Amino acid sequence: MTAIVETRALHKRYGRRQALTDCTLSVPAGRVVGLVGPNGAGKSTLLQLACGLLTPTSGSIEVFGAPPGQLARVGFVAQDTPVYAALSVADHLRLGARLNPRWDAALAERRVRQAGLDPAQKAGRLSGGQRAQLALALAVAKRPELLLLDEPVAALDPLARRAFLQGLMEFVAEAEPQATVVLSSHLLSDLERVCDHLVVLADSRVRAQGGIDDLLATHFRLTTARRAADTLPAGMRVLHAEHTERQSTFTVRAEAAVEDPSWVMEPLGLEDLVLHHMSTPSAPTDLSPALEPQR
Amino acid sequence: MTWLTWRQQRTQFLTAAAVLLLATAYLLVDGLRLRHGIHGLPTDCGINQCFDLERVIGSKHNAYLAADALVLLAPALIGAFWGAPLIARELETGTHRMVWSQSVPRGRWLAAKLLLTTAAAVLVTGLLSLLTTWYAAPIDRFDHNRFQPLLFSLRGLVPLGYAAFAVALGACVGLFLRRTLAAAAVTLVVFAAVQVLVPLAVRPHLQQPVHELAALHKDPIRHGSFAGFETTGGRIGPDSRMVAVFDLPDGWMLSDSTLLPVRDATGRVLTLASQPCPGSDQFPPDSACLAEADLYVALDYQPADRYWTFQFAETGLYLAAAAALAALTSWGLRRRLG
Repeated sequence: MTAIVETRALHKRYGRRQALTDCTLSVPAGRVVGLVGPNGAGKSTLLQLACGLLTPTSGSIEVFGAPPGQLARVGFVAQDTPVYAALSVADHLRLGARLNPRWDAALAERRVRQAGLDPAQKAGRLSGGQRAQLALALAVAKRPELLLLDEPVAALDPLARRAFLQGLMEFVAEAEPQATVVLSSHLLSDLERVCDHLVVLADSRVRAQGGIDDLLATHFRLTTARRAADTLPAGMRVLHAEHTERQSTFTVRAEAAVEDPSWVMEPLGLEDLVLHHMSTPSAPTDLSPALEPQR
Repeated sequence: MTWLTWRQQRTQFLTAAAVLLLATAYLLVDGLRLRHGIHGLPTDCGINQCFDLERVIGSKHNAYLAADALVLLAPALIGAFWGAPLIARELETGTHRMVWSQSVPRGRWLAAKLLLTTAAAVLVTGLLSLLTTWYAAPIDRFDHNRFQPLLFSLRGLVPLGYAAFAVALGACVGLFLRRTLAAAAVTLVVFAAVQVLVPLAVRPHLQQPVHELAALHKDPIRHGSFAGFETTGGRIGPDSRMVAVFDLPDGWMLSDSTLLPVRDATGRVLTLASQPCPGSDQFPPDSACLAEADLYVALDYQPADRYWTFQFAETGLYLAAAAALAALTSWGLRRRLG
């Protein structure tokens, strides 16, 4: 499996503020990757590093096996989907055609039409959802192999959100060559329906990453009579333990569920899994390797 | 990129074109009228003796000032309204993240925008300068003052250099301030300061000035006339220095005062007591005698024939400054946002 984006010990600092700390991750080809984390976790920084708008303070980041900067192969929809207020929708498409050698005019026009945008409309008068659709059309019509979207739906109402994600999924389905998508959000619920891979960021660090199926298949909630964590079988890694007087609840990572009459072991929901990783201040280094997809 | 630059700055460019068109129409017609008015009038008469010529020129005073103001303001306004928003507006609205993620690298984006905007600025200012230089030519020829600091900045080549510099300055300031309005204001202030400082502190030294002990009356072209005696404490005494005004047609006198001490052939400053033409009661001196006396003034000046050397040198200086600012902008674009 080739990695489209690969970072090693990536750090980014703005003055005194550490935006990204010791970030090592890989984005496998052909996946739709959700980048989840609270505001200020470093999501925007990571995406802007990947598209070459920022350069790392230290560490390395490679996109398509080379330092970022292969602009024609990467599409980027920035946070708040900036567009030129004074330019019309049609002007934006012309801009895309002029500035991108692989521009697909038919695709751009189709997307704009499907989104119900009036080509003569000034972009400054579009609603948030329409603006996002325009920014998406601009990004996908350059036929990127990697599409990065920074909080694309954060400012959208539920209907616009659905329309936008639908548009995105159409692109993923039609993309030729196959595209890899990374989209960020502070809400898992925004991403859940479209992603098959997850990267959890919090406090400028990677807290977890992996295929959603793998994550779901290896995280469990284990409820038993009160017992100490170290008495659990060797194959289980305890991520979190809670004890009441009679009962213990463990969040564990294990290769598979283990049947045992003395406990109940049930899969951890994605929401719980992500929340757990976001809120656990434990060092991520001992979590991340264990969470990498095993294939 | 050409299209995008044009599309983004269309309003500014068209406004400039409209102003240029109006100015051209007016100054062309009025310039022809001016030439018609002075046609056949003697132009080699002395100061205050060309009454007809002065009357015609005087009637064009307002148009002359307006044209000069246009050339003076054009580079500053271009710097503030074309240069400053070039990068600052993108950063302010966040559109830099959109446009820099198209397939055109940031360096090329900057180069294209900066070059095209500078070219437009130079074109507009150049045409304005050409127009004004042509319009005012009969007046400038009569006034013989084209080397005078303010007028020098309004004629010939130098406005082109100013325009290029103003655009580069605006872009650079915009990159570092990231606010269009603040960048425009700072650009105006810095540009104005440079425009004041260069004629005062830099231009006089572009070439070593000529120091010369010049005869006050002997030269028919460059000549002076006795102006009086300097008072000390409101009174004239034997030690009061004898002063004269000196006319240096189209040259640039660098002395601070227009009144120059009169000297004898050895360079000694003459006073009321030592002046060679005592009048009947020592004052005033006998004018017929003065006209014959061997009097001198010490001149510190740039001669008239250096005018174009100075025009090229100063234009080059501003173009070099513009190039340096562009390089700084390009470096900052890579570094500061990187």
